[in-house]
Amino acid sequence: MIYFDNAATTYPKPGCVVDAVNGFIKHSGGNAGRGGHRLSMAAAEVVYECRKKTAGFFGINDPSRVCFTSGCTEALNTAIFGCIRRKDKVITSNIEHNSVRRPLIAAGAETLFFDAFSEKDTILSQIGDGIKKGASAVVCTCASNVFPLVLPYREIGALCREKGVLFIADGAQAAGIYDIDVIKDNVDVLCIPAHKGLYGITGCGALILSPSFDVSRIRPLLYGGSGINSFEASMPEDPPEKLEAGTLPSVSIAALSAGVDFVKKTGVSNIRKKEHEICSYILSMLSENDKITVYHKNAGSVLCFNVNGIPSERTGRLLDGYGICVRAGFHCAPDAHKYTGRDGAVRLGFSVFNTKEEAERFVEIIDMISRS
Amino acid sequence: MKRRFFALSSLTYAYKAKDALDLYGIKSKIIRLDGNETKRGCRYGIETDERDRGAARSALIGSGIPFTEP
Repeated sequence: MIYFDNAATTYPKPGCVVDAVNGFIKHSGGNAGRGGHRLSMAAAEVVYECRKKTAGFFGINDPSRVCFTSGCTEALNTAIFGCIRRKDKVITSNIEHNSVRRPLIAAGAETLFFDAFSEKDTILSQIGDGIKKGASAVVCTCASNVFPLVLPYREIGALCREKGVLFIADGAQAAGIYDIDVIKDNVDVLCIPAHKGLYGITGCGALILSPSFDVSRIRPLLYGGSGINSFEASMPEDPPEKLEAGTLPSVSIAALSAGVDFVKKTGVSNIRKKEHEICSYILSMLSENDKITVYHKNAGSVLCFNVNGIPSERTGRLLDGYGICVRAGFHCAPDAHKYTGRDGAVRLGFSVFNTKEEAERFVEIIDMISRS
Repeated sequence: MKRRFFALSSLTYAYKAKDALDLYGIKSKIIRLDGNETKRGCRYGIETDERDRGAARSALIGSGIPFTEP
């Protein structure tokens, strides 16, 4: 099997992540923050260690600014519904995943778009125009989940900081692949999943709150048990507990802790270099095939294409028949797919575990499919 | 005997407090507080040796970690 769907979730997971999951279930499997007995405290210890590691990984040294969720989608919903009020003007891009697009619509925000395909200066100019029109926030992805396109999130953050505008960043496709420092990059709220570029397992994500972000600005999305202050009618005032109602996904948090260790040890730049090398090779080979259309021809961590005359889902099924896992369709990003001009596309998503041999085999198979 | 502790606003802050005391070389233990030890329901606290209490208080204040002492 060749797994090229790492933009959906990374596979396989490093051995240390598997060990962390097994170890937690066997030795620490209490409910963190829900008791004082040894198993609850063992679980709490694991959770706190992960907060510290995740905080440090994204450039902050306060673990209380890491708020765990069930995934990046919940983190984005928490950030958007927590900070954006009905009729607020919000700047966003034309390539957003539904985990940004749908909450913004549901929150009743008035959205102003910038063109993510433009040059950096044009993007910043469009954002600046939006701010002049009264936008109070920018909510956008750091990297597309469809095309090998990285937005200038550092420059966007700097502009937002200069203009006093909130910056909520979707780090789903960037965390662990591109360097993100919440403080230096002027991100107010960074939303991340555990199970993609950080090599954890599904069921966990986080909001990373900048030290400069005023937490009184964010309302909780979920209300429920926090393990403390049970007599109080409201959620706790301070993060992380303010934004963490209910039992934490402790097993997934243990996995994230190991995943962060793995990424740090391997090196974010080494991971990115490996993924881009695989992508570059496939891109160069597909570009020689006139029966294949590649969209946005850059090296990146994802690559999107279609075989001319074959619906993308069918191409996906044919590849699966040869043991190659890809995702076909619209990738939960309908706005991005307006630019493919077709009914969806086939996406390849790479990880540090993909090999040149896998890329060669893929090229051989897709070449055969395209000519059959 | 009545327990002596510093009450923190959350479990996370209890861990932050422990980290802060560790930096000052003060041994401490995170404990779960009874509902009747606080007025707000369940909470977590930090227990230290009575001899270290003053130093621990100063360390928590110096580290900017809010706490209460019942």
